[in-house]
Amino acid sequence: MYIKKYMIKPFCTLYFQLKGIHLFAVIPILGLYLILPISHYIAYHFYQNMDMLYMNIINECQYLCPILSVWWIFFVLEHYVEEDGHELLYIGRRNKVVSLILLYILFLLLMIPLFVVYTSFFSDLWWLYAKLIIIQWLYMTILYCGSFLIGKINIPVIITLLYTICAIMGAGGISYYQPIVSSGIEFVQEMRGFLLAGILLMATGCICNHFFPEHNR
Amino acid sequence: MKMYWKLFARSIIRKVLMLLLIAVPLRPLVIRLSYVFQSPDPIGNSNWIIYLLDFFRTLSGDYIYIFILFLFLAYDYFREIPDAAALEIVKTSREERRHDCRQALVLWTLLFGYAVILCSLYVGGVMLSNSTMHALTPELVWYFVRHTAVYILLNGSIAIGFAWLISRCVGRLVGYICVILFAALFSPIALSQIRGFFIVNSHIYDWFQVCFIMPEGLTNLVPEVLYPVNWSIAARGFVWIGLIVLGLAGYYFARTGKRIRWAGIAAGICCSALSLWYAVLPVSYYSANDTTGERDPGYDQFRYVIRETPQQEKEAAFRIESYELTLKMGRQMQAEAVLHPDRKGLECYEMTLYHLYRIDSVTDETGEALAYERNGDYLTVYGRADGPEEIRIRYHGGGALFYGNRREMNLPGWFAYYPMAGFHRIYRSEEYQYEKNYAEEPARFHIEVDAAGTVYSDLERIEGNCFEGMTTGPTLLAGFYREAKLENGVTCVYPYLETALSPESNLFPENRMEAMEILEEEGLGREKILFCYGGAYGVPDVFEEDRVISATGWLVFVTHYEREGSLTERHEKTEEEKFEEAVTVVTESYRIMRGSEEEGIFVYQDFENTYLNQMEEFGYTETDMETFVLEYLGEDAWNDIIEWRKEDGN
Amino acid sequence: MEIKHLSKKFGKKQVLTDINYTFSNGVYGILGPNGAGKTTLMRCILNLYRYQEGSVTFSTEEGDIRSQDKIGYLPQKNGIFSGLTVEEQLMYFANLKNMDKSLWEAEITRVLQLVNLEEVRKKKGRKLSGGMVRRVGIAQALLNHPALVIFDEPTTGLDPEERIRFKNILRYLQHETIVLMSTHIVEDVEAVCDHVLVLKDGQLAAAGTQEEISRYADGKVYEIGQEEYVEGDYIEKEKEIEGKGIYRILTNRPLEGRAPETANIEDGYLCILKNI
Repeated sequence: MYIKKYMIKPFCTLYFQLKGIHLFAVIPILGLYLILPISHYIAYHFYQNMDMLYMNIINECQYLCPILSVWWIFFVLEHYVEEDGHELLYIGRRNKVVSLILLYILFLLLMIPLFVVYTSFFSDLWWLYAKLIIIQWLYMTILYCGSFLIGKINIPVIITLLYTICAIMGAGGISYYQPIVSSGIEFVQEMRGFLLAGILLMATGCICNHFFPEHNR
Repeated sequence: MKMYWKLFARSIIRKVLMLLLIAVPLRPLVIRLSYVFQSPDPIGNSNWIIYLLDFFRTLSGDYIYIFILFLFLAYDYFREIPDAAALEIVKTSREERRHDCRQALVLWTLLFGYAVILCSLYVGGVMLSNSTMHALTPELVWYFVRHTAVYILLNGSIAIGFAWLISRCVGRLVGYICVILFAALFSPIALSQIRGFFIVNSHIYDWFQVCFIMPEGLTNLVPEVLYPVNWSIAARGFVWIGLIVLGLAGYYFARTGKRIRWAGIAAGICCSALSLWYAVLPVSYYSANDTTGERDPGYDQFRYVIRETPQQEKEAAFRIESYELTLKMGRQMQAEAVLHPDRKGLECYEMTLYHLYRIDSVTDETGEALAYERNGDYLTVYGRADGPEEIRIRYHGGGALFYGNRREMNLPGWFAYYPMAGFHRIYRSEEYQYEKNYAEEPARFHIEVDAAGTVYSDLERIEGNCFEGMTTGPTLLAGFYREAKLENGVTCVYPYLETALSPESNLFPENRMEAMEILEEEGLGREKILFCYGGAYGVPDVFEEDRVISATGWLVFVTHYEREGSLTERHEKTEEEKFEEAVTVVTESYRIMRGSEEEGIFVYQDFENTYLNQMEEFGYTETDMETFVLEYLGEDAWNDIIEWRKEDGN
Repeated sequence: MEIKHLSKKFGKKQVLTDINYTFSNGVYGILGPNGAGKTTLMRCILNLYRYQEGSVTFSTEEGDIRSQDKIGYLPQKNGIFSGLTVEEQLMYFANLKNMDKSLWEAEITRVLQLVNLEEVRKKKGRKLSGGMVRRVGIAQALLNHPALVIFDEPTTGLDPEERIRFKNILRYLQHETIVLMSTHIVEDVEAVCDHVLVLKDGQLAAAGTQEEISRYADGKVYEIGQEEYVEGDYIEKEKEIEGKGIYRILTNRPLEGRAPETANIEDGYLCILKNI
């Protein structure tokens, strides 16, 4: 009963939500297993240089992975926040964060085979994976908090996409993009701000979710 | 129409976006304010405003943000009706097209007003400052107008059109994703990324590049660095306009009006196809070796340093006594060079001509073709037993950094834009600089240039843009240049947007006076100097027409003279001088690192790399670093370096 | 289900004031003008809104059924996954209601038969008409044999045949379920509701059986000629008989020589609203 209620049910919900997105659901998989490998291949082919391949992996993963990680979350949040009759979904359990966390974890699991390959060439790229865990967490919480706070999905989506562009263009102070991979203490120093921001946004999102849909009537 | 304006103003999101759009043209004001409040420590207790201003200035500087804001604005506005579930009502009333056109008109009116304000602010910004006021010429104003027309009006129209099309064709969320992808992909952000995908075939990239309506390497609009504005960039925009017209015609006339539908589609296709052809047209002239990226000004560094393209040095067996150059400046330079060698009957005439000039024909004085061989930067023309009296070479093309087109020219006399006798190195790889090749003896040049505007040269002007005289290398400059006489009678041709160089400017008068003295010493009292852009690594990216690069100032002029001992010549550094220079670089890098208060293994690695790069050629190795530091920096410095290294646990 | 002293404010605006009522198995119609608080009341019952005062309690063995997935709710507008089939939509909701997976097939078949959507079981959401989408919404509300079902404007978009079918569903449910139905269509209330609650300005203006509501209009309903109309009479309907305009009015003034018409629930409702 416990297992069914708390373990199987969220996966079933996830299955239907992803199926409901239809063709758009494959975009993250295409991004991870088609676009990224092609990019790496071309980088290596042109430069014939492992250093350039290393740089390419770091760059492309930081550009693409965060935004791909929240692709499914865009659609699921639209379903929770803006779909006609969405209040039906809040009669029993109000908090929807479990669905989002499952989607977040699913994407992390999808990234693992890719990083197993990466780290066979460059062992320090597990730190990049760790960095992406935190950045993707931040992205998820931005969307979660924004959607339930505002009651619309479009503004958090715009904010997320603009933040991605700002980060790629290296906007000072808020950008997570780095051309090198930090490890150890530097990693902690670099990522602590993003982690804290993610935790704060998650807490705020949970509070807003708890009062949803009332405060957005 | 009032109702449509009211509908526009109704949304808070659109109000916020409009506020952001208004804030962007205030950028010059923001910059000036930030200078007023500037302090050495921008992130101090009371200086958050400076940090924010700096961030805002960076954020609002690039046109991609204006483009994105207009995209979102237009998309949000066009989505009003579908989001209100009123689209079917509008369609039923048969007013859909008219309604949408009116919405588009509202947006376009805003866009036009915005463009006018922005253009006025650019002009006003130049007028407001004493140091830039002199640069306000009709040429510059026209440049601002053209610039605004292309980057704001045309690109803004594309943003409105694309948002219009997407808002009618896809759902809301997917539409937002489409608009942001459009903005990100077809902009400088993705250009450098996507270029890599086309490495395997440069022609595909050259054609695909027309999708990028904002060329690579855009930076803030400041007087020294200007965006390229020309018909090929505008044509890219029309490709998109055509595609959008095509899409809208298909959407609106899908079920009705077959004739008008096909007319709209045909118009869209024609517009796109013609624009694509025009935008792509000059591509073949640029890529002499079919390698992507040759129009990148940094490409020569890649070509000569990383790829180690072979260069040659071979003294010529002949001398060219006189040149007749006819240069027709269009999208690129089309040239006819008539050379008169001093020796006839040679087996071959070895010359240097920059590799991005493509040879069209080589003939003698009778028009008979001469055999020739082109190998990178080198051209070998095979002579005849009775020898040609003259060699006529027709060629076209142009470099990225040293370019020539209808409006602008930056062709220094030491650059092989004309055939030079002998084989010469183009690029000094070890110093990341272009080689300055002057002829040993002056030759007579007669140059006729067909270009818009005034061309300046070190040669004497006969009439219009026709020059004649003796020189070891003729320099040709055109664009935002002006000729002025300095206090000591020297004629100075300088880029007048460079406020630091202008004799009319009050900036750096002491450096200018010092420069005058140097000119007197050099015996250049009645001569002319032309400021043109050097070939050093680190100049901003440029590879399009109309582009002006930041030039050196009087201070650098003076510094160069003090270092080289000559204005035009470069003396060969002795081993001692090279060693001293290398030591200075290493010691300075330590001081900078120490001053930045950064710590950690990266600092140590940076310092170590600098040390090895500079000192390895003098026999220093990693193990000698301690000795070096103790000798030239002292024990305290070595302790610092050990501390940096310890951060890594080593 | 017992509602005691339920009050709800949005900001400074009092939306519900001291609502008291006890519900048992049966069909309850909630009538009221726009802005009376019908939807707010339903959402308070569902715990979607927090109320400042009062309580909603359930006297069942399981305790509060709202946490037991024994509630069915059909919102005013219900959405649908465009990429899922009808069957999959219902599986999604069955999963949300923590139904045992082994029971899904049978339960989904049951509700689809109730709403007459068995034939389009495998059809994707984007291919359904508006009425079919509404019926899918009704079907999901009936999953898992709910103890409380709340319908908000349930017959919107349904054709006459389906409306009759829906009324039959309600009759089928009334013995075992508390059914609350908010509607503007008085005929629907007349056809199926055992009890009627009339909300006015956030207060429970009247509650009772259909007869009790109708009695509010006893002796106040007349059919008169246009020339007999007096300011203050409330014109309920206008009709024409043999070329002569006739008003059906609600009035407090006694009309001599005239027998009042038989009052129906609509008359009673209007008398309550207009304070006649």
